[in-house]
Amino acid sequence: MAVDQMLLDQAGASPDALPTLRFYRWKPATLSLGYFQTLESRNSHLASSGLDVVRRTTGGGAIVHDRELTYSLTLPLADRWAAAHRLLYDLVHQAIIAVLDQYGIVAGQYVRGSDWRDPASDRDFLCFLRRTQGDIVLKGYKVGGSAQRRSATALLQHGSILLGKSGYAPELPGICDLSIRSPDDKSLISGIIKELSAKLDVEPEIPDQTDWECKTTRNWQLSRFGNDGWTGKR
Amino acid sequence: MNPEQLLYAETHEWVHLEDKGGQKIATVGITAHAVEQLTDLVYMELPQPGSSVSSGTSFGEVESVKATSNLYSPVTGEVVEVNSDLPDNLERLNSDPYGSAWIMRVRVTDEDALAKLMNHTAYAKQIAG
Repeated sequence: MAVDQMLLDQAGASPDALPTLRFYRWKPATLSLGYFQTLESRNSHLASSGLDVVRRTTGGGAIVHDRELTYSLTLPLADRWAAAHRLLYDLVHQAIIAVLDQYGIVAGQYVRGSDWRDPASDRDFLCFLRRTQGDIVLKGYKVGGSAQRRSATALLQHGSILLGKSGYAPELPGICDLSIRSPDDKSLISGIIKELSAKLDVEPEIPDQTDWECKTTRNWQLSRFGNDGWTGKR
Repeated sequence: MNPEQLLYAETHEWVHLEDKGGQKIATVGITAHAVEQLTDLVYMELPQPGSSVSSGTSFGEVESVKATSNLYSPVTGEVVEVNSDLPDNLERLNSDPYGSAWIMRVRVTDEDALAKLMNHTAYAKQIAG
C-alpha cells in the first residue's frame, strides 16, 4: 500500500510520466478495508477476524488478500473527474479476461441486471460480494474488481483478482475453484502485461528502485499504512 | 442559485459569494458536470465547522462506486457551516447541485485567491474542452 502511495506521488509530480503497473501478493494473508469502511465493520466477518488489517486509500469493500493477486496502476491526471478514466477499468479487466480465455476460462464483465443493487445501500462487507458495472465475473461469481483514488494530479487504480477460495473468506470461490484449468500467478502477470502493452502500444520497462522511492515508501508506511491511527480513523 | 451567477474553480467546485455583516461568505458546492462524471455516489466526508480551508487544498472526500476523490477548496478561510444532511442525501447532488446540495459555507479571509475563479462562461468553455 505504501509503495502504491509513493507511485501516486511520483505520477502526480511528473505530468509526462508513463503509467506504472505493479503486481503483488501478501504475506501473511491480510484484510484490507475500503477507505470509507469502519474498523468496527470487520467484526461482521468472523472468518477473517484473525488477520492483520490495513486501510486502503481506494474505496469499495474489504478484501481478504490470501489466494489473491493485487495490482496497482498509477498515472498522471489532467482532470481527475474526466469520464474517460472509467475506461481504465475496462482496459485492465478486458486484458485479464483475455488472458483467462487463453486457458479456456470464459469470464466476462458484469452488466447491471436483475441482481443489481443500489450502491448507496449495498453494504456487503466484502468487495467480492458487491457488484458494479464492469467487474470480472465467472459463472456468476465476481473474481476481479478495481477501484480508483484520484488526487489533484494523479490516479491510482487498485485491483484484485481472486485466484482461489481462502479459508479466511470461504464464501468466495476463486478462479481455480470455478474452472478446470487456471494459470499460475506468474503466467497471469506476464499475460496481462503482454495484453496491456499491445493495447497501449508501449514497450514495458522494469525500472530500478531509487533512494527517493525507498524513502517515500518508508514515510508512507510510518505515517499511514503501518499506523494504527490511520487504520482506526473510522 | 443561478449557475450563471456563480464563480467556478478549474477543479469543478462552484462558489456563491455574499456579504454578511461586512464579512464575505462563500457557499461552495460541486458542479453538475462533476457530479455527472462521478456517477453513483456512495459517501461524502465533510470538513468540521471551525476548521480552516485553503484555496487549492483538500477539504473533504467523495466516493462513487468506482473512485474516491478529494474535494479541493476554491477559497481560503474558516468553515462556518457545513451541509450535514448532504452525506445521507447524496441524490441531491444530482437533482439540485446548485441549491440544496451546497457543501460548506466559508468566511473568506484571503480575497486574493478569488481572482483565480472563473465566471460561468469561462467554466462552460473549459468543460466543453
